[in-house]
Amino acid sequence: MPEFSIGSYIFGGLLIISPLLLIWKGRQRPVIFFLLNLFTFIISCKSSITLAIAVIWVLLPYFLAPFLNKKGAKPLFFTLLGLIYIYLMNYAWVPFIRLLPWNPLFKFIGLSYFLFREIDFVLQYEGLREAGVRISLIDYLNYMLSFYTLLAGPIIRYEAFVEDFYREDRAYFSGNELLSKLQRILWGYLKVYVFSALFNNGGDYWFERISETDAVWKAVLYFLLFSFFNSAFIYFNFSGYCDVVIGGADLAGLSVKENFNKPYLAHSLTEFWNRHHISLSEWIRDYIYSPVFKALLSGPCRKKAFLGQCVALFATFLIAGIWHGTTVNYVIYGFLQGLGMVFSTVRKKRLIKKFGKKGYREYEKRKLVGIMENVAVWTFISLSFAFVGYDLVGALGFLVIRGV
Amino acid sequence: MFFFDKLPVALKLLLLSLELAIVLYAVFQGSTTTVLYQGF
Amino acid sequence: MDLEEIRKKLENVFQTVFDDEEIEIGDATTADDIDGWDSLTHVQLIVAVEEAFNCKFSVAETIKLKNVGEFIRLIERKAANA
Repeated sequence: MPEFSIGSYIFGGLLIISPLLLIWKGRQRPVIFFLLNLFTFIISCKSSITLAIAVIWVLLPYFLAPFLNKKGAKPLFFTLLGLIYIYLMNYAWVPFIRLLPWNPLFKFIGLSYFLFREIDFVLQYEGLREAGVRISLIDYLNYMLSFYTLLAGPIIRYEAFVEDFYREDRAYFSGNELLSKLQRILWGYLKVYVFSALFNNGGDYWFERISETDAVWKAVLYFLLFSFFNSAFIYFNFSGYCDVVIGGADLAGLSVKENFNKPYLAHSLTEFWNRHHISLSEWIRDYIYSPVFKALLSGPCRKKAFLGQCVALFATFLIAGIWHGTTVNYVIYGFLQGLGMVFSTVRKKRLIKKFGKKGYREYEKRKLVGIMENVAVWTFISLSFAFVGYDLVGALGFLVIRGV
Repeated sequence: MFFFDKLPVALKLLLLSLELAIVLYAVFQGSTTTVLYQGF
Repeated sequence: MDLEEIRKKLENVFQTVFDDEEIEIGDATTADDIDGWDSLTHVQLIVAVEEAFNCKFSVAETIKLKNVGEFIRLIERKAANA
C-alpha cells in the first residue's frame, strides 16, 4: 500500500466530499465526520497489527483520563506514555530500546501528533469537566483522528476543536470566498509538489557535492548552499501542507489554527518559533516550558528567575528537537535550538539593559539591524535544520574518517 | 491571498485551473517529494 | 476572603512581579493590558500567586490564566476548598 499523504487520491477525494457531507447540520454530523476519519485512518494503517496498536494507543487516554486525578497518577501515566512512544517510534539511540524486539509495522501515521493531542486531553480533562465542555467518545475520536490534522497537525486543543465543531453561527460562503479557499488549497499543493520539490532536489545536489570535493572552503560553501536549500524545502513543504489542510478544513466549515506566519520575517530566534510551526511552539510553551520553569522557580531557582527561564527554555527546545526524529541528528538539532533560544533571550536582556526598553525598541527599528538579525536567524536556522532529514552525523563522521 | 482576491472572476478561474493542472502533473508525473511527516 | 480582598492582594502581587507600583487590575484586565506580561513573567506571576494565597495551580489552570477576572475567581474557589 503506497504511503498515504495529501497527494493520495483518497485525500483529494476527501477534500471534496467532506465539505459536502458536513453541510449537514443535524445530530448525525459528528457521526458523519467520524466515519470519514475512521475510513481514512484505517486506510493509512499498513497492516492489522498496526491498526490494533493504533486503536489501543488512541483509546487508552480517553478511558484512563477520569482516573488520573490522584496524586502522582498523571506523572506516572505520562512517563509510561513517553516510554511506549519511544519504543513504538524506535528511538534507536536510547539504550534499552535495542533490547526489545521491534517491527516497522508498530509505527502508524500520526503517532507523533497523537501524543500531543492525548497529553492535552488528559491534562485538561478535569478543567473541561468542571467547565461543562462536551466530552464524549465520538468527539474525542474526531479530535484525535480528524483526517485534516492526522498527518502532521497543526496541533489543536480539545476544547478549541469541540467548540469549533459545534459552532452554530457558521454561514455559507459566497462564490468569491469559495474561490479564495480553493486558491489556498491549490497554492498549498503547488508549494509542496513544485516549489519544495525543486528545493529538495537542490538540497540533495549540494549535499552530494560536499563529500566530492577536497578543498575545505568548497565543502563549507556547498554545505551552506545545501543548508539554505534544505530550509527552503522545509518551509515550502510544511507550510504548503498546512495550507492544504487548513484550507481544506475551512471548506468544510472547520477552523484549524494557523501554523505559519511569514517566518522569514523573523528578527530573532524567539520570533522565528512564534512564526514557524506555531501550534507546536504554543504546545511546548504550555506543556513543557511552563511546568518546568514553574518547578524551577518554586525550587532551585527561587531567587534566580532568569536562570530558571534559560534552563527551562533549553530543556524545552531540546525535548522538542528530540521529538522531531529518532536519530542522534535530532538530539543535536534540539541541542542547537536550545542553545540558540538561550542566546536569543540573553541577547535581548543585555540589549534592554544597555538601551532601556524604549531604546531597545528604537534599536530594533533600525533597517541595518533588522537585516543583520534576519540574516543571522536564517543562517542559524538553515544550519541547524541541516540535521533534519539528513544523516549529518553520519556524513560528518565519514568526512572525519576520510580526512584522517 | 493578496493579489488573487483582486482579480476578476474569469481570471481567478483560469488561475485555479492552471494551478490544478500543474499540481496534477507534478503529483502524477512522480514528483518524488514526500511530505514531511515526522518519523516517516 | 471576598472577591475585593482577593483583587487587592492580587494587585500587590502584580505590582511586585512587574516591579511597578502603579499597576491596577480589574476583572477585564488581560495580558495585553500589562506591559511585560510574557511567558517569563506569566510563570513568575503564577508562582508568586501560589505563595501569596497558599494554593497550587495545575498545568491546565496555569495555561488558562490570561484574564484577571478568571484568576480572582479561581483563587476564591481554591481558598474556599482549602
